[in-house]
Amino acid sequence: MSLGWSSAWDGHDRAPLRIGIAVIAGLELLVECLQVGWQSRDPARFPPTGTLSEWLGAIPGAALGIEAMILVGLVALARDRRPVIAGLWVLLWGALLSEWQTQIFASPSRNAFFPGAAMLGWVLGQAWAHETADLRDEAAPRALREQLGEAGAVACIAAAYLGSCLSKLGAAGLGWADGDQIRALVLWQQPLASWEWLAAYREGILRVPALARAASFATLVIEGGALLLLFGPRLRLAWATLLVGLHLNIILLCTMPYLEPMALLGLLAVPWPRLLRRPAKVSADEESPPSLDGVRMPPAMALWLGGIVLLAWILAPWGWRASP
Amino acid sequence: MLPEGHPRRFDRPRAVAWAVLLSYLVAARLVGNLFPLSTFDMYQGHAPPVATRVLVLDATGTAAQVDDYEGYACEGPPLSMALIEQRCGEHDRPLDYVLRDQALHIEAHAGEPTEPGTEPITLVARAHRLQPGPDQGRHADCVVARCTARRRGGRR
Repeated sequence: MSLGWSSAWDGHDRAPLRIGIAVIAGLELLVECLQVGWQSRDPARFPPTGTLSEWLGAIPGAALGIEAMILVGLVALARDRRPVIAGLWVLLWGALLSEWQTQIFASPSRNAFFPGAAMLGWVLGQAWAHETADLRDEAAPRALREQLGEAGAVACIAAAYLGSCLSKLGAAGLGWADGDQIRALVLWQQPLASWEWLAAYREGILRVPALARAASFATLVIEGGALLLLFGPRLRLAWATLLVGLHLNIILLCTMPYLEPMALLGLLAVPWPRLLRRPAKVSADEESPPSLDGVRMPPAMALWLGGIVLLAWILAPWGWRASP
Repeated sequence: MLPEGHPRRFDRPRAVAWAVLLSYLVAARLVGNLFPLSTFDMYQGHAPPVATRVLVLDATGTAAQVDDYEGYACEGPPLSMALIEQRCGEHDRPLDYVLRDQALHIEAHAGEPTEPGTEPITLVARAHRLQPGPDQGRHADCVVARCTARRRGGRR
């Protein structure tokens, strides 16, 4: 079991990863576009609460127009055509759609944030490769770009789960693990079930405090342990399996399907090249050109990452926050 | 396992992964939720003392989900948070978006009391006490509306 970074995709063409991220993001954002388009036509129930939602709601077909823009970027990303610009284009239109949705639905769709985060990581990894190669006036080979893109995408997914754990600990401390929040979720969402075994499981969580406490504690451990996605492929697969199990349990208890992160975990953590017996075609020198030896962060990349943090700080007044 | 001759081959993706992870975490903490940055703060707080959901009770008092029925014809104003607050008080509020979905279902599946298969039902806000104490685990039903409706596809 490796404690350094390595991937089941090392030595293989990462086109399926690139296309997979684009497809998952495309499907989720299409659903969100249709939802926002439908909701914006029912202002009595989904009233526009800001200038953006009033303005976009008044434009016929605005949601589909946004989806078209997103699709243009996703097709370019999937075909590896100017991937950094294509990814940023998708993220920009996705942000517009998300803000519109937040204004009419009163909260953003976190389902869409998972593919958004994966795409941000993919873009940052690609940008890192560009900047690394640029230091030697070379073009970054696709194998290097996509190796770092994969690392960035996995990192953002790990950050999503770790962030979720930190949010719970920050808002409620270890008291979150007392089981009450899980019981409340079952009662709010789906206390009844058509299948007897499922009704018995939900009833067990509601009636047996130790079971609810165990489920809450496991949630914190599995989310917080998502850092382990950043190590070797076996550990990544093992922890991704636990995370998918966590989502399946949430579906059973509360009928809240988070299919996007489950699909992304399946894409990024399952050793598909080995399962499909794909021969390694990419040489080690293509993934890590000897001329580009050295791992220090390129100065421009420090500006990229620092710029994201600075932008987040500037935009903080407009960020949506859940009540504690 | 690092291949021979390239002892630092995998250091670069590791550096990328950790730098990106830390940047995402810090940026998300600063902004809260702004696509694609998020603290994923859903249900982050401690549970309130009471968890409430609107359910259907049939004539025998058996509980079912609102979407187990169709052909609704209800007395009084449509299901809304204002109606629940008016009938049951401000402390036993269900989740906003769950109630909105239920209200949409009732509106989209409206009917007439004379339609075949309809039966009298009651919409109740069922409040469960979560906090330790003599009432823990018990629930109280508050009547929100009296309606007629029919079961969908024989589901129970």
